[in-house]
Amino acid sequence: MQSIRRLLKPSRIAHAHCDIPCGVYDPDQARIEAESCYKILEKYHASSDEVFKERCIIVKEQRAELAKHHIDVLWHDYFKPEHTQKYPNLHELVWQASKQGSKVKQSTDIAEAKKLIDLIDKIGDIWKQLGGPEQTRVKKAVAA
Amino acid sequence: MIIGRVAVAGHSMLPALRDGEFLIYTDLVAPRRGDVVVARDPRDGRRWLVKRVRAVRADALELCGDVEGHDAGWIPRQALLGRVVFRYWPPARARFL
Repeated sequence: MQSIRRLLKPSRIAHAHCDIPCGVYDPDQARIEAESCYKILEKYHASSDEVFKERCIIVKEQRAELAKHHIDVLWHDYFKPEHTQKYPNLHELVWQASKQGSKVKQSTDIAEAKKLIDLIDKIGDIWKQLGGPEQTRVKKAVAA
Repeated sequence: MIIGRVAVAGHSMLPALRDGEFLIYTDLVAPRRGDVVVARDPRDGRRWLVKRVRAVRADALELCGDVEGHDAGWIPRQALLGRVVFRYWPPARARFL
């Protein structure tokens, strides 16, 4: 039965995802992961311990994947067609940031990690201009 | 003319469509309110959606999931790929839709 299923399986997927739209979005979630990649690469290049360096690579790849995930969530769940009309470069910018996340996964060049941070900041600027901080975050309690 | 096949991923179309089911869609049939359609996600054309038509306009369709709270919103007509006409997998649930 499984082999028949494999044979008949379409190559395309149509999404019917059942996300609960919590409405909380912030590009800083992706930025923190990108910063981790940056700092990990600093430590990687400063070390001569091969075991430590290997661990750096593994963790850096995990963090870069998380950065990509958070960029994708912004794209799929936060940004709307009217946002892309208002900021025509938005599609290209998010696509570049996502691709840059892949580059950071593949590379040990710290400049690639910095480029990812800069691209996420550009997405963050648009999010701020759209009123993201007020609309999508829960306010912090005012310190006494 | 388009006749295509897609696999359903996700649960927003329960109970009508289940995760992992295989469908045939076509653009030969004009979608009406209540039909299930396949469309490009207007926020990311690389991603395809399977949703139910809630409202029809000359230039756009409003799509939603069957599970409450899963709206895809209005999509332009150009984003529509076709109406789902048949579920062929699993065999026990094969039927025209």
